[in-house]
Amino acid sequence: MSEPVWVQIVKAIIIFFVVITVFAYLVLIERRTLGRFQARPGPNRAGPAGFWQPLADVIKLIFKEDFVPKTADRFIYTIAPVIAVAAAVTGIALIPFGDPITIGGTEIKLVGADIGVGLLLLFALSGIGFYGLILGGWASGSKYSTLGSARTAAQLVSYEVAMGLSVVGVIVLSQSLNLTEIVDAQRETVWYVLFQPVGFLIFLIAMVAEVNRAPFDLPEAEGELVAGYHTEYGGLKFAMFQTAEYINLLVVSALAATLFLGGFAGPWMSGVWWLALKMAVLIFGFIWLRATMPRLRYDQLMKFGWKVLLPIATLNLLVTIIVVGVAFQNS
Amino acid sequence: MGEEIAFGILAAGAIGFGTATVLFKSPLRAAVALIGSLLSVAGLFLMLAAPFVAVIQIIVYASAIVVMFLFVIAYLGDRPVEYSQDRLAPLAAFGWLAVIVLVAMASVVIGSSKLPGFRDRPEDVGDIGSAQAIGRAFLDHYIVPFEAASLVLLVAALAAVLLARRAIQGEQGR
Repeated sequence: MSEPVWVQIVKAIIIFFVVITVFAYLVLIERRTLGRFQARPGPNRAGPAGFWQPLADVIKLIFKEDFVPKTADRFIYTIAPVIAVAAAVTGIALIPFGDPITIGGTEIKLVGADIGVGLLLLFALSGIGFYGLILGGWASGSKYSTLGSARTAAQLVSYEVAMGLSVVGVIVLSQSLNLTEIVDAQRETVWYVLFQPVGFLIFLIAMVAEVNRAPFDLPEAEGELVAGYHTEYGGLKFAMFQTAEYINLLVVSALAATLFLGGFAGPWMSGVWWLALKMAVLIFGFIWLRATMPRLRYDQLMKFGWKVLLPIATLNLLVTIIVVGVAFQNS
Repeated sequence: MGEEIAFGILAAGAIGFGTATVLFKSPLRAAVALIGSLLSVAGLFLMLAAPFVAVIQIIVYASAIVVMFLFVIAYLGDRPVEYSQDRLAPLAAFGWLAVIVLVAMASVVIGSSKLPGFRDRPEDVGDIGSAQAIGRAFLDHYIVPFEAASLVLLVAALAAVLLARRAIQGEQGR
């Protein structure tokens, strides 16, 4: 906490506005790209190439009625989207996006909050963010929402374990839980995706499940559950759930880039652009996946999580620990 | 001063949410209050310079375990607690007596305590709360109790699986 308070506040405001803007255009990019994948133009009416579409969406959502179902638990129904957004936005603050810079004699770290156990805190925040989904679905007082939130709870528990185990390999290699130090450790060696290809793959699969995207979007499967946990939500509360979902997508892809692809480290360009480039590639992959893969059946999802992903993750970790241990003894 | 304020807020949160957990009739609301209580305790750990324990508290207790509670509530339904015939009701006076005695004893003990560090600022104990320090302690000094604990947990997990299996087989046999 060597930085003055005003630097931290300015940093927080900048990060927040950049993330909200990126989120707005991420939705547009996803809709346009999905459109191309499905041989249709996608939203292209509001402004050139649909440039004003996010603004139009927001204006529409603001003027919707702020509706609470009769059967809902009013208090929890209202705070649930807030929990989801707050946890997602806090997660962004932990991602480092560049080397420290010096402006007017003050050294400024290019990360919202440089915390020793940052990686663990990100996992904790994703757990808290899930409460927004679970509680929101529950408090709506509708069967579809309840089923959606029960699925969210089961999916979270199943995939968080595999995700955690896949990350431990990186922790063992870098000997740190601090994301900046993990990036620096990769600068000295190589990207950890080369040491941990299996871990990277498991992380990618688990992270699709964690952000509830196709083919793992069972909590909001529209064919069975209308819209799952946010069936009863409308207007700005619905918009908040969407915000949380897309910011979570940004957080996990930034995390994947940081842990396995060298994060902000790279030649020629400044760190922000490297991180943005790596995240863009990953996010494009996710959109591609969504356009290509059909949704899994629910029992397939659970079986895959517990009987395939978890054993492979455990084995991967075991091998990593043995190899690192032997290498340390020799050096 | 800021530390005292933060402690006051967190301690009040832990006690307040904890009380709410017991008093709410709806299981869902009780679970939400429990999350609040666990998060307050995590904040207290953070104030004790134990960030690792604080974050693990959130991951394990405030998220994984309460999610399991919510999962069970989701399947059983959010039925409010029904008051049954309370056989201990005539003895409530003794309960309040115990509370009064406890408060009296606690205030005497706190007022007259001579424990080191109770009144003055505690000494700096150095790095005991970081992930590195805890890992070293677990794998160096306390490796035997640590491994024994994991063995006990493994046995408990196996026993739970076995019991559940017998219950499932029993249902099918009927």
